[in-house]
Formats: sequence, structure tokens, C-alpha cells
Amino acid sequence: MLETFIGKLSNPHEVFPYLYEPVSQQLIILSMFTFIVIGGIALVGGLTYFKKWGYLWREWIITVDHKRIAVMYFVVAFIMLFRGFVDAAMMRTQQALASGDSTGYLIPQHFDQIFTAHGVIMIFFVAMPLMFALFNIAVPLQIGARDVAFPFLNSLSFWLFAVGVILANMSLLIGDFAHAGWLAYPPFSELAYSPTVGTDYYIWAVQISGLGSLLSGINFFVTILKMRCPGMTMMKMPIFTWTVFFSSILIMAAFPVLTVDLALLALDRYMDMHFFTTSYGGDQMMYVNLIWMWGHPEVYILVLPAFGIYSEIVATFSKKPLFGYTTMVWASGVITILSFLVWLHHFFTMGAGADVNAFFGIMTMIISIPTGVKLFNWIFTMYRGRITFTSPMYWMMGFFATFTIGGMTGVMLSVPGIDFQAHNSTFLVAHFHNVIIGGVVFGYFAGFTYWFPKMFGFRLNERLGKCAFWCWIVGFFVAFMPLYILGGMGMTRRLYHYDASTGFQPFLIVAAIGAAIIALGVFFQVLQLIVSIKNRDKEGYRDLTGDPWNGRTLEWATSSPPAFYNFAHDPEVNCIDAFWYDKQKGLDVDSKPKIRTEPYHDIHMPKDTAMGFIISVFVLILGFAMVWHIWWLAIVGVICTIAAVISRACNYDIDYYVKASTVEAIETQHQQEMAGAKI
Amino acid sequence: MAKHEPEFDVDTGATYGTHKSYATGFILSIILTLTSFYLVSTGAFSTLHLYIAVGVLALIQLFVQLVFFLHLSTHSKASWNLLSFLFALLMVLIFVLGTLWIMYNLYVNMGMNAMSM
Repeated sequence: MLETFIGKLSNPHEVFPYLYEPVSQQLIILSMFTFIVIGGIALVGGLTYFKKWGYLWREWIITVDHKRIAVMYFVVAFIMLFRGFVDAAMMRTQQALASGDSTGYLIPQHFDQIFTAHGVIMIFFVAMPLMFALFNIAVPLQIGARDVAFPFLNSLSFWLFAVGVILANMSLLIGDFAHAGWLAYPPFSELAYSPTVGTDYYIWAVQISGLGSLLSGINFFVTILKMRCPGMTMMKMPIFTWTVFFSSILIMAAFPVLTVDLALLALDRYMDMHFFTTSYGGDQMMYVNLIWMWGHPEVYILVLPAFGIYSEIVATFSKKPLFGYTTMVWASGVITILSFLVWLHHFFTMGAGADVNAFFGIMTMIISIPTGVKLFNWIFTMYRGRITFTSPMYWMMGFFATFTIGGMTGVMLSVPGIDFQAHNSTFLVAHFHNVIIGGVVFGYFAGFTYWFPKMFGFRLNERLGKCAFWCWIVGFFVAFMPLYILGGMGMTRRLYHYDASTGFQPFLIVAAIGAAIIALGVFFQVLQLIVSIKNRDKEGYRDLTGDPWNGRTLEWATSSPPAFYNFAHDPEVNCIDAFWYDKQKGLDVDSKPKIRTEPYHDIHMPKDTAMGFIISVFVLILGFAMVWHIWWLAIVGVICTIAAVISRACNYDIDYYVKASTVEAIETQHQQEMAGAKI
Repeated sequence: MAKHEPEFDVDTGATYGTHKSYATGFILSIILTLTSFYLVSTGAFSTLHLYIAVGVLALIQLFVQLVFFLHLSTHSKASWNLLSFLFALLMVLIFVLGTLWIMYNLYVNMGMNAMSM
């Protein structure tokens, strides 16, 4: 009876599994609980004390402004980065300790959940939101648009992503998380081997945030195709916008495959179907085949925008046009297509024949060619440039070194014969951290530093940024080079405990020290934020001009932070880097763009709406009910979601006009500030 | 009256449907669907031939609906529609053919029962 009403919540073993675990584990859980509770109380208390609930609702939760949505993505992504990093630190500590007689300080169930959570969180809830944050802050401004094509959809995407985050983290408090690895391979993720709610949390968290990602992909694809300012043909777009365009195509083509694959797994678990079971005609390799059909493009979804960021940064700080703009565009396009032809290299060892393995091995090697083209383009851009060594430039040069090594180990792994030796070893772990940290994370940090003044109107502290960079890159090499060696020694990934005679321990201790150095880098980043916010009005931080880096593209042509309508007048461009050439037409490089004197017009803008938030709350209810098998609540969730979507679709009062006088007031104030900044 | 209106949607470049084009598409779809049912009900074909025949009819209907209902055309103003359709087609081909190839290869090499293929 109780089970009908509250589903699996009626079973304390499911809800509070840690009550039945050793005291050492309970202490870890308890400290985490304390941390969350204190954090929660501080947040809620602070919001109430400073009477910020209304502000939070009006200015953030219901906003459809792409710049605000970008900030929210950043906030969630950095919180999740902290969580993912704590997971990483726990794994490194466990492996450094668990040699011979010692079994470390974690029990296997926890260790398994931690490496699963680390992968899921770092990809879905750190890399993806950081990427969408950068899409949101830069793309509409770079193409001279007032917002994205579908502002409401943008808000919905964010909140759906937030639902995924909430579901994944709810597993800390009630129930457990998946323990089958970040891609939940069956048959291990099937009901027979993973009977707890952990895998269901995984399925629904990834499904729902994946839906948000898909909607964002569509949104930015349309935005880039339809919202470009007059004169900006495709081949005059900033290169970051190009890479976002290709990344959006990849999202639209790849994410449905993930959705289908996880849906089939869900059917296996919920309706006793046998798509991926070992018996009744099921085939678990089909799951692996489908998940990598999404998973490999996903890697390029993440890294292409990072390549775009490097392209913007290298041109800006070398004060030269990007070398080989056209080849850069084509290289991105070729990568887009090729990324769909390599997925089997993730499972060379499943038992396919030489023809299949050879085909995918060769395709994988070929994909390094367009990537190499890009690398040379960046180097040639720097060649004879007047380089300013700012911290984004540091991240970029760190990326050169790190990514090249990661790329080369990738080409090694693309040889099926080598892969048979190295697969499932820490060599692989080292390889993909090498490309993802060196390529994606460094790129997003660079982009964050680069566009930070655009978001908030002040710069980040350079000195601390460089300290963070040095800790990250040194920490990275100290943490992951030992893993390459360990992989060669035969250490498998996700290893909970090993024999002392293996000789793994010294290397794992070094790797743990590397993680500690990265932690120091994270500390410097937090310090950088605090110091910069504290000094935000001081000389060297405050950006009154809107163009702190002497930039080349349109986002620097408006104020920092831009007014909510972005541009008072629609910008017009007639070449690549039009803003730069506009500045060049003035007498010196630092001269500001000419102030336009035409009269202002009313500006057409989307209205804020709470529907994105409300729909997502219903989806959260649905997801939670499905995880815990509360069927009546799931039905309520579905009905409410559909009703909310229909009610939104029937609402035609979704836009308004900003009065020309309002625009004039805002612009006049900005121009006065700019005049003050010139000195 | 229809002559003076633009033939293409300003935003999407897609052609506007007319009553005639929708009716044509609708009737063609019905004919194609009924033909499939008819082929199955008569039992004139062997199983394999029936699969092929129904598959071909389904493909034809796919194109009928794309042209008449989704306004896919080769006109230059609608080039984005066509291009994205071709891209989607390429993706589907890669996914489906790639999967068939990989899984078939797996079954052959691992000596698995190909019954579930």
C-alpha cells in the first residue's frame, strides 16, 4: 500500500543505503551532509536576510536574456566543477593508499559511484554548461544580434539542464548514484546487476539535461543562420561563431542517438525488455555502439568551440588577423563530418573483424589532419605578431603543448593493435584527460577570462590568473604522466585496490600530488574571483570602454556589460574583423569606434517568462517520480509538463518594444562613462 | 490573389503549400499506404519480396511527404532546407549502415547466432 504512494521511497535500504555501511563511510557521508546543509542554510539565510528572493526571481530565474543565462550556466558549472574535482581528489587519494594490506578509506561501492559521478559530472554538468555559457555570452554579441533566435527556449534549456544537475546531486542525499561507469554500459547497468535507483538517477539526469542540450543546439544553429547583422555573410563570421555553428550541428545530429539509447536502457530496466541484456536476444554491444555514436561527436561538440576560443584569443593578442581563416572554417567542417566516422575506436576490442577495425582506425588517424591544420594556423598567427602575454594567452600556449601530446597518444591508440594492449588501462585515462583538460578545460578557462569583462564590466586579476595557470599545467603533467606509465605497466582504470608487488603505488602517490597542485590552481582561481570582485572599481579592473583587450569582433563594440538590448543600433559589417578595421580607420589603434549620432529607434525585445522554470519544475517532478517508481506522481508530472507547454504555446504576449527615449538615456550614460575613461 | 503573394516564406525560404499540393500529397500518401496493405493481404509475394516492396513504398511515401507537406524543394531560396535534409540523410546512412556493418561483422567473427539480426 505504502509502495503505491511513495514507490521505492518506502524502502529504507534504498533511500538511506549509507545507514547500513561501516562507520568510516558514514563519517565521510556525514561531513558531506554537514557541508551541504551549512551551504544551504547560508544560501537561503543570505537571500532572506538581504531580501534578495524577489531580485533572484525577477532578474535571474525568469530572465530570457542570453547574457544572464550565460552567467547562470557559469555559476552552476563552477559549483559542479568543485564537486567533480572533489570526486577526483577522493579517487586519487584512494588509489594512492589502497596498496597491499591497505584497502584505502573507501568501500568499493563508494569508489565505483565516485568514478561514475566524476565522469558524468565533468562532462554533462561542467563541460557542457561551460560551453553553453560561452555560446550564450559570445555568439549573439559576435553576430550583432539582440538575443538568440528563441529566447524562451534558451531559458528552458538552462532550466532543464539544472534539473539534470539537481537529480544527479540529489543522489548524494537520498538513494545512491550509478556505479557502472560514466556511460553505464550494460549488462552491468541492467536491473540484474544494478538493482538500486543509482542507474535510474543517471538515466533521468542525463536524459533531461540532454534534452536541454539538444534544444540549445537547435537554438544556436538557427541564431547563427538567421540573426546575423546586415553585411555579415557566413564567411565573415567570427571563427568562434563558426565553431559554435558546427558544434550545434553535431549536437542536433548526435544527441537524439543518446536519447534513444538511454530510453532503450530505461525500457530494459522499467518494462523488462531485453534490448541489451545477455539473454533473450539482447545485445549489450548495441548499446555500446549507439552510445559512442553520440559519445565521439560529443568530444568534438566540446572541443570545437574551444578551438574557436583559441582562434579569437590568438588573433586578438597577436594583433593580427587569424592566419588561414578559410582553412580554419573548412577544417572545422571536415572535423564535423569525420567525427561521425570514428566511433568504433572506443570499442576496437569487442570482437569485430580486421576490416571494421582497420577502417575506423584509419578514419581516426585522418581526423588528426584537420586538427593539425588548426594548430599550424594558430602558430602562424602568432608568428611575427605583437603578442601580449595575458592569461588567456597563457592558457592557449599551455593548450598547444598539452593538446599536442594528448593528440599524439590518441593517434597511438587509434592503431587497433596498440589499442588491444592499452584499452581499459590508465594509459587511456591519461590520454582523454590530456585532450579534455588540455583542450577543452584550458580553452573554456581562457574564454571565461577573455569574456569575463564583457559579462561583468571588470577584468579578472591577471597575476592570480597566471598563478592558477601554472598550477593547473604543472599539476596536470604531474597527475597524468604517471598514469601513462602505469597504463604501460598494465594498471587498469577504475582500480579499487592493487597488490603491493605491482609497484603502482609510487606513481599513484605522484599522481595524487599532481591533483593537489591542481587543487592549488583551483584555489588561485577562487582567489582571483574574490580579489577581482573586491577591486572591481579600481584602475586596471574596471572596463568602461567595452573593449578591454583591443578586440577584433563585434562583442567589443558595445558596452561592458552590454545593455540588455546589446546594440543600440544594428551593427553593419563588410569584412572579417570589421570592428578592428573600424578602429584602424581612426588615427591610432586604441581609438574608440566612432560614436554614431543617428536617432535611436524603438527596439523589439522578448518578454521575460517564468515558463521555462515552471516547465522544468514539472520535469523535475517527473524525473524524481520515475527514479523512485512513484507512478501516480510521474503521470502528474507528464500531464503538468504538457499542459505548461501548451499554455506557453498559446501565449502570444511574448514581446515588447523598448522606447527610443529609454535607449537614448542608457546610451548617453554609457558614452559619458566612455569619455571619462579616455582621460 | 495567390499570384501576388510571395511564393516563398521570407524567413525560411520554404515554398507555401496550396490546397492542390496538400491534396496531392494526401491522396498519394493514402494510395501508397493502401498499396502496402493490399500487398500484405493478397499474399502474392514471398516474405523477402514483401519486405522489399513495402520498404520501397515507404521510401516513396517519405519523399512524397517531404515534398508536399514539408515543402522541400531544390529552389535556391530553400537551399538550407535541402542542405540540412541531405546532411540528415547522410547522418542516417552513416548511423544505419555503419551499425549494420559493425554488428554483422561482430556476429560473424564471434560466431554468434545471427538470428537476432
